Amino acid sequence: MSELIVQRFEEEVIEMLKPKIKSVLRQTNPQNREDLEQDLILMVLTAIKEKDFKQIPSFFELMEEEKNQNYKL
Amino acid sequence: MQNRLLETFLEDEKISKLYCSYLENSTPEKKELIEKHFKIHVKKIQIFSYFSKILHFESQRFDKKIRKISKKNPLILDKDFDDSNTSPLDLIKSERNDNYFENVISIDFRKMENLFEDKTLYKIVSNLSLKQKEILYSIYVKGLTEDTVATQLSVTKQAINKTKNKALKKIRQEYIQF
Repeated sequence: MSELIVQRFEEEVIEMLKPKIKSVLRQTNPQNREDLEQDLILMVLTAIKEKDFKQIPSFFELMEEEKNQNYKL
Repeated sequence: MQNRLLETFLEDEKISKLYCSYLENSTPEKKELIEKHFKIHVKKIQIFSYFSKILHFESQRFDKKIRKISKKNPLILDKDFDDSNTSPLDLIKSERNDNYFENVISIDFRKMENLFEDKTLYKIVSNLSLKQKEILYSIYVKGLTEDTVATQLSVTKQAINKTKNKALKKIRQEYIQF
């Protein structure tokens, strides 16, 4: 089950980054474009699995903060 | 709403509905679900911003890698090396050159001027005496030593050397005049 979620997440991220990847491909010569695309997608996938991003406070903590700020204003 | 992250998160219709229903009737399950969705959302944004910055550099690194590989294993023969005008094609042994050299060797010394493509050089050499031509030919084309040439022509080594120098001097002077 969780594997399915991960897979969907990966697909969504790649879909989201597609335009950016496509624009970057234009800087290499045509015969290497496919290779580069594969390389970049692989890089994204490994980053999703392995890279540790900065921990961000949970949704409700952020909501609290937001409310406090609004009070101050 | 000041926090962009919360803003974009709540833009999703499903999420905002979920949040509204949570506000009306809060259960730990709903809270957990919202947190889970939020985590996914945050990670997506993080990955997106990270790669928007990094993709450009990664693609440049890829180009560099490709260039390095193709430099080590060139596939195209007439492509220049990076730093000079020589190409791999120039380094391949040519059979024509070998034949050309054999033709040179078999030229009669009396027509030594035929070796030269330069017109002035051709004229000058054709005006040399037979003796001079023979000596120059033996030394420079056949690659014999002055000693051997001297014994072959049964004259002294000094005479050979003298004739050679005289001929070279003549060629040089006349070439400058032209």
